[in-house]
Amino acid sequence: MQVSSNIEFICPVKTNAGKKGLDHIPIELKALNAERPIVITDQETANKGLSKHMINAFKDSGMHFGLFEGVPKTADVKTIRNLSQKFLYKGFDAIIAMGGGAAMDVAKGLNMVVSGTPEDLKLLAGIDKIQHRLKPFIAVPTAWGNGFEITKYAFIESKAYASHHLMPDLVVIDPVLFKAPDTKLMVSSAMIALTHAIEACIHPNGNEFIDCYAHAAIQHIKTCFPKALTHPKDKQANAGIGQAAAMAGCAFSNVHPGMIHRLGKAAGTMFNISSGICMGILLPYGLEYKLKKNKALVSKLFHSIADFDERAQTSPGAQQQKIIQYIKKLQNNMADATKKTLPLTLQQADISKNSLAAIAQRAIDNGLSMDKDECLKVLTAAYDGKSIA
Amino acid sequence: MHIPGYFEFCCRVKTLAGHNALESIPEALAQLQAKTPLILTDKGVAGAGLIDIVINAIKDKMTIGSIEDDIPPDSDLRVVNHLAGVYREKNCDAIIAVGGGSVMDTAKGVNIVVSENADDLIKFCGAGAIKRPLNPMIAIPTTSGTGSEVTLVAVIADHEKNRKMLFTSYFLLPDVAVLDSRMTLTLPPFLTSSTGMDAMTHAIEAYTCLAKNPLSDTHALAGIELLSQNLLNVVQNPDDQEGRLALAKGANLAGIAFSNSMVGMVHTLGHSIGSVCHVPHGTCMSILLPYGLEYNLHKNSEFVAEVLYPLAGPEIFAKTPKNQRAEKVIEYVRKMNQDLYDATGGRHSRCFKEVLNRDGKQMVTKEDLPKISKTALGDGSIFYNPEELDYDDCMMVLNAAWEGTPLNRNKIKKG
Amino acid sequence: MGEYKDITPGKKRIKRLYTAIMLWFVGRSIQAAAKIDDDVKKEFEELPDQFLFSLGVTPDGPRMLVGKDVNGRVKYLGSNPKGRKINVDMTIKNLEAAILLFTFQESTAISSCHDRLTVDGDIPSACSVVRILDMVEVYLLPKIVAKLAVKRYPQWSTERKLMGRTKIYLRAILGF
Repeated sequence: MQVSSNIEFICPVKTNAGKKGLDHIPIELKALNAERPIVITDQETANKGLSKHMINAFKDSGMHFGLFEGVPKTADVKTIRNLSQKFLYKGFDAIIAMGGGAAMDVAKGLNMVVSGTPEDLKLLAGIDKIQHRLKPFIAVPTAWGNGFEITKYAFIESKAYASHHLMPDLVVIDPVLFKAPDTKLMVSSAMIALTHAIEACIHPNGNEFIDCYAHAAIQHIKTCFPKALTHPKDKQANAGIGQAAAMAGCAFSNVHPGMIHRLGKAAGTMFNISSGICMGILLPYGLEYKLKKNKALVSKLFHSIADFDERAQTSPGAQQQKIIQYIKKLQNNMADATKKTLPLTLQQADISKNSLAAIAQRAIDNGLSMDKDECLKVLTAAYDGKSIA
Repeated sequence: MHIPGYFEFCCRVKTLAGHNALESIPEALAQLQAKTPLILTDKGVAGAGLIDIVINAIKDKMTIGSIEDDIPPDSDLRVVNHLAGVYREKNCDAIIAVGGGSVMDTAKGVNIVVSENADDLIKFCGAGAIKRPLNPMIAIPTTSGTGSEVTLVAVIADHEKNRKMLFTSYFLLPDVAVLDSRMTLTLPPFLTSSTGMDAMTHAIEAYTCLAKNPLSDTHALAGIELLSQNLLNVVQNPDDQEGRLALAKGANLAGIAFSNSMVGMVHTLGHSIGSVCHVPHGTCMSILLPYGLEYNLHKNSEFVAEVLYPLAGPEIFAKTPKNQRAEKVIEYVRKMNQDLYDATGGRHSRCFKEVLNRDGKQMVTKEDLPKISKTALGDGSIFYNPEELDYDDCMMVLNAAWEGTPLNRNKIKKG
Repeated sequence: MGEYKDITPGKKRIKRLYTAIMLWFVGRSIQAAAKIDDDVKKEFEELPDQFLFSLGVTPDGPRMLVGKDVNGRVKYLGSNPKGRKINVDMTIKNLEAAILLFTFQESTAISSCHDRLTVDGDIPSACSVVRILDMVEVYLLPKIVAKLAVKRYPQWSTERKLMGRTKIYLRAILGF
């Protein structure tokens, strides 16, 4: 019996995307049997004046809510504790997080505490420790984040949590919230989304169901990213990247993080560069390495990136080159849009060559199952900006 | 890619698929904190030995509360209440539903009764009246067609009060759908072909009708590809396990797609023929699919053309000039119906005059068509069809589908 | 917790008023159209006795009711659904969705495709109601707008359209 041939997929997240999406939140809350939410957001989102859109969405809904605009730059236990007291004292019954990664992490932490006990923040750290459904949780991305917003992961101080129960019941992507973007952050977010989606497609435990989310994410990047780069004020295009990030997060939550993700995250954390930029640098080299190792992945990956005409017209032999070309073209678009300030190699990102081994080691320590020398091959190629030796 | 101004997409069902997927049920139930499932099915499924397979796969790891295998095809409130009684009496804490639409609907009804402790189901009728998670439910489909394992609707008849109760809520989605090749392995070829085309219709209508969105699109395309690559082959080689699993996945993907994008006139007319003449749903779908595509072509040819790739494969797609791809899709669907007709010894019908009942009598006569058209105007799926559809339009399409002749596209009213 | 506030969101008075006026006008126009247009009349004849339908914004938003009285006459019945048995209940999910609909940015079909409109009750009757609404829209709106609101603009004679339009506007405003 080969039980391993079985596949598994779950995405507990409902997606509401597009014009006036925010205005559907009250009725969605009602469907989740909630009517008194707490909205939490970070200073930056609040400073951009985005809270007023949430208030507008609740006008005429008959619902009241609590608004907390003080989520710090990274999620911390103190904020969660304070919020949980507020939550219980005021009798809230749902959480809406608006903003980037920190707001989502605080919301996930808060949800563990208010659905259980304060000790849960300690007890539930790790993988799949949560046994019960948590309270209704709606995620409203407003800006570019770390790519973990719409995933099963939460990071609070030094602890990591992973469970499908942490995923939001609903993600709302409303173009009205995607204004005044920071191009570099947007690029970082798009690259994380693309990396997550691509690595989900070629993951050995991948399946058709994961591909549906991954393909939709990649198509959003293809359609919206070039436009968002040349027209930074185009809200639709920018919201498209947010959409891609959410869909990629759903795919990513069904597989183990891949090599490019791990190496990019390690490099980003060690050198204080946004990890999306690092993933973007690593993407062509990492893919080249993977495709060399396993030729069967070429057509799979080409399938996810190319449209029907390209797929019908490109011979199998030419596919690999086209994939790498496509990614490099994207990188050049990004470089142009950022007036060449965006690094395209690890060297340009001011990472020293002799720290590559440390990056590899850190990625391995974080769970990357790959030989260190092999990691170094990819990192070296990405450092030099040359094909893998 | 088509990005609509606004869309919603949701499928919270966990999917387990494989040749041994049934064996994962105990673990899945444990994750849902359930220990004692009630197994619900009908006589046909039990008679085919499928329940034995399910039981053998799980019995070592859990206690089964009870096995109830007498859900009738026209199940109703009485059956639901009786089964809810069994659930309580045997202290069950989950439901495993094995079968097609009627079993799934009944199981959902039972779950509302036992989870909400409801004495009157009418309270939960309508859109979104169920507001809390119900008790754990696992759905195991036994045909690769309806996709009812991923729909959020349940219809339960109340024969005593002569009414039908419609329930819609995201909480009606089963927690887990288990797609196991063993469950469809013994499905006879002509049922495989019509249920397969049913699923194909879900996927193609989902991709070409008004409420399509980027996520329903990827599900629809994946479904079309799996179904197209495997349907004829499985009908010819019923023992092909890989093919069976592919069809089950394809039907599931198609079900996810259409329950998020809705369907159009193929379903409008198909439902009506089903209710007036009792023709099996899958048969209606296979016959009507090319007509629905023809009728709407002036509105959605761009989307129909894209279907050619997953449907017919890269060579045919590359060989067909861009402006002929949509027509090629219609031609290809007709050819599929013809191939399935040949492969089933004529049991897969190509047009309505060919549909015969057990006594060899025509199930749909030309005299039925006005009544069918009239019924069609009251079917909700008519909203999601790209082009308007009035009584005369229905008659025109039905006449052609009865004879098996292509639509005269010049006669379609365009506005 | 200095950054915490309790929010009482309040109301969108102008959008509410606009929607209420539109609903009032559409309701009275349906009553008028049922008198002067044969197709609308026929759709209503097929509906059950004392049929009542409602179109409105949830929760507690503007609403209109149209129904058949005991003599089969079609009447606009105001905005209060309390105590009435409604056969078809069409609900717009929020005020912004209603604005999109009544400023003709989204047609009825697109609005329901966008999950902004829910229909509860007898589905065949609901289909009739949608056809009635479509015909009334063709009467009320100039072709360029109505073409966006309905899937297929009907080929009515100019006389039917213009005479009908005048009569319906008059009757709707004057209320007979």
